[in-house]
Amino acid sequence: MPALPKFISIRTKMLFLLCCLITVPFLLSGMLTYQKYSANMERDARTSSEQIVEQVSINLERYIKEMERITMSLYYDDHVSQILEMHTGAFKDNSYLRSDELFKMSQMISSVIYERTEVEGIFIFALDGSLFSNLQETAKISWKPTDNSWMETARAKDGGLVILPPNDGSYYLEKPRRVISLARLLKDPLTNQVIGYVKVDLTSKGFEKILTSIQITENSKLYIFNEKGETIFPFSGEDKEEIPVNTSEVNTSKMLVSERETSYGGLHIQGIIPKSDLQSEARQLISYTLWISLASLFIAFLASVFTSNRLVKPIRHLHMKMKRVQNGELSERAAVTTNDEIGLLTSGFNVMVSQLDKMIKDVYELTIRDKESELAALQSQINPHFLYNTLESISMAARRDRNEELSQVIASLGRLLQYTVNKQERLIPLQEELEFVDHYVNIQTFRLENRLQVQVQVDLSYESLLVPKLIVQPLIENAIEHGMGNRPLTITLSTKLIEQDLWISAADNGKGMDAETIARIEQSLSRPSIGKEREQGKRQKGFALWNIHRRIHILYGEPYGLYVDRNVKEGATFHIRIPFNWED
Amino acid sequence: MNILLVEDEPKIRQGLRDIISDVIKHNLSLHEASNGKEALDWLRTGGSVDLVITDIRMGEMNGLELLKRIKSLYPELALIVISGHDEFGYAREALRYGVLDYLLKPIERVELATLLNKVKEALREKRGGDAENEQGDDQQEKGRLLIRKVKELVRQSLGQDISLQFLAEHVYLHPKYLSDLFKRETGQNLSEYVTKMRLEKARLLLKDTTLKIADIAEMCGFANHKYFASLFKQHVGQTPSEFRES
Repeated sequence: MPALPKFISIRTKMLFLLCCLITVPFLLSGMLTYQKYSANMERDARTSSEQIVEQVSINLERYIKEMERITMSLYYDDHVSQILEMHTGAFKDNSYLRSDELFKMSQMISSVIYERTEVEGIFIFALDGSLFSNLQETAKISWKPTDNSWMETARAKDGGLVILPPNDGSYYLEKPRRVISLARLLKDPLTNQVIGYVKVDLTSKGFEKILTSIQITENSKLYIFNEKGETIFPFSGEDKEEIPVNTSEVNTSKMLVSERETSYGGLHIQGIIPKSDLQSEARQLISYTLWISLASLFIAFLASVFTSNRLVKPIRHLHMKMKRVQNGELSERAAVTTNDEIGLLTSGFNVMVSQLDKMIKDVYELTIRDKESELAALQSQINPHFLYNTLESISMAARRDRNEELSQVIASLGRLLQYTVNKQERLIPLQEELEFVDHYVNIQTFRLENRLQVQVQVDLSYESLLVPKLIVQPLIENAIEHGMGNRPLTITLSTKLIEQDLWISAADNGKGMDAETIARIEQSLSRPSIGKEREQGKRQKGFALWNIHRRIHILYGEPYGLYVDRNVKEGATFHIRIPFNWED
Repeated sequence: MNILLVEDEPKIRQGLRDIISDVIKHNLSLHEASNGKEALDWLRTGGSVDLVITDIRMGEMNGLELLKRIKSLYPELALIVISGHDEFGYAREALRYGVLDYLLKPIERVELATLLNKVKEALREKRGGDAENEQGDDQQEKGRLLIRKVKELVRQSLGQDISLQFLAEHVYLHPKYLSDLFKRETGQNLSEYVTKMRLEKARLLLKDTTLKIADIAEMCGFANHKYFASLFKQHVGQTPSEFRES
């Protein structure tokens, strides 16, 4: 037979099944939704950020062009170039500027930047170190090459527009201001000679107007770099944010990046959207799914416990009843509580057990009836009138011949027959049992003469105790049959009270038993049935002993029965242990 | 003593006659009949009789029928039934006609002898003592002495096991004979006597001492104190503790 798999209760199986049924679809659908959703979000975000970045670049280009126009207007202004040409001499500190020149310049510049509030100031740097601006009171009138390294860039551009990253103008008299500047080299339009530089300082306002209103997602960022890759926006300085210098440093797996160059001015616009922003909604969705599936799992657990209880309980009940039936309690019936397969099973079980019960009873009764009818047949065959009158006649004949002993033996034989055949009671007074033993001994003494002696040492008060019928005589018979040797046999029958139980002992001084015999007898006593030899009518050796033991055992249960004494030096001793019983 | 013996088998009848004449050696007048009808006829013709011993199964008129007739005609007659039938129905009917005893075949000599002695005793008392008891006196005196000895022995050994064997060995008698003798002389079983004496002792101990009941039971030879309590209640009508408190 192949080994059965390990026992797993139905409840556990159902629990597992239900959990699987709930968790797997939820997890699958959650995962799919999450992936699809986040992909969509990313695509949408990418599109919108590209659009926004494009929009920003267009706006910026327009703005830069507007601002450039300011410098261009100065570029082509005659007065400006005239004044500058006068200052093309060698560079010297603290150059002297005529007030009309300053005035004229300032007026010029002011007219250009009229109503442009984001312009902090416009500065025109003459080659001899003079500095003109629209800010007459708050700006210096000379400059130093060491403070204005941007000029190199402007010169390298040879008249082209240069956009400078946020810087602190060194020429402000008051505290330096953070500005973005547009600069270019000024040339004489006719001679194409360098005559100075122009620099337009812009506050962040203009850029902010264009850029700050733009927010793609919560944590999205917009960066603007100039041609050299220097950061134009957001303004650095006050808040030193971590600003990626170029796109390669941006981790593209975490960020969504869209880039664009303005076609004019060489500005580089970079929009960065952290993917976590996009995923936050998807995450929320996932967490909802998770919570719902957890809640469902819990409910499913409760439901499965409940349903499996309903399923398992009747099965357990049935199982318990089955166990009882296994132990021989055939009167057990299981209650049918459910109208389903289990109910069918239970009622089927009940029918089966009751049929079994009935069959056993039938067989049992039949056996008893058989025995009874056998006995009745035997009794009717031995016509008591005939038998006992015959015995009586023999007895009287013996008496006539003065053979008292023979007469007594015949009387005893009659008693023996009457006692075994007639009395139906199970329990009888010990006295009657002893009388029966006495008759038996009479007959045996007649046969064996002085080779047999039986001593009955039973307390007279014990004689009224109730004992099962025919339990003592077989011990005497056994002792004579197996103990009788060459010398006279003495059998001592005695009673004792141990632990409130009655012990009836038959000890003889006969041949005794070796350990092997004792073991065999003990083994045969412990058998619940005697086996086939008995059924075939052959009286197995030791059947009488087994019969005593079984009858007592069935009547009183453990620990009552027949026991062999192992501690005897001579002969054999058997003990009968029965409850101390004196009333029915 | 006049006895009518009714038995259909001659051999058995003869044997019974022998036993009876063994037991009753003086003044015995024994008449025999082989069936109920014969017996009844003899009685009607004026046969004087003290005791009728009858079988049950006989050719003409069975024993039960005979008993019935006798009971109605001579109600004062003593009756003994001897039968091979150990059937309750027969025994009950016989008892209804007031039989002294119902003996089973084959008959035990001692049993019959005891019974006959009892009848003899009863008749003697009824007649107020005759000269005939002179002869038995010697033997009876010996018997009474023996009984006294046994009783003394019982009294001394109440705390230990008293078996018939033990008593018989002390008076040099066969146990069976002692048992029969005791029954004949005192009218009660030896075992009943022993139990009675033990309970007597227990009563004294209960009243005179403050020993535990279980200990008293043990001292009186009742190792099982529940058995003791049950016997005590049966004989005294009270449980040992009730008895002690009363």
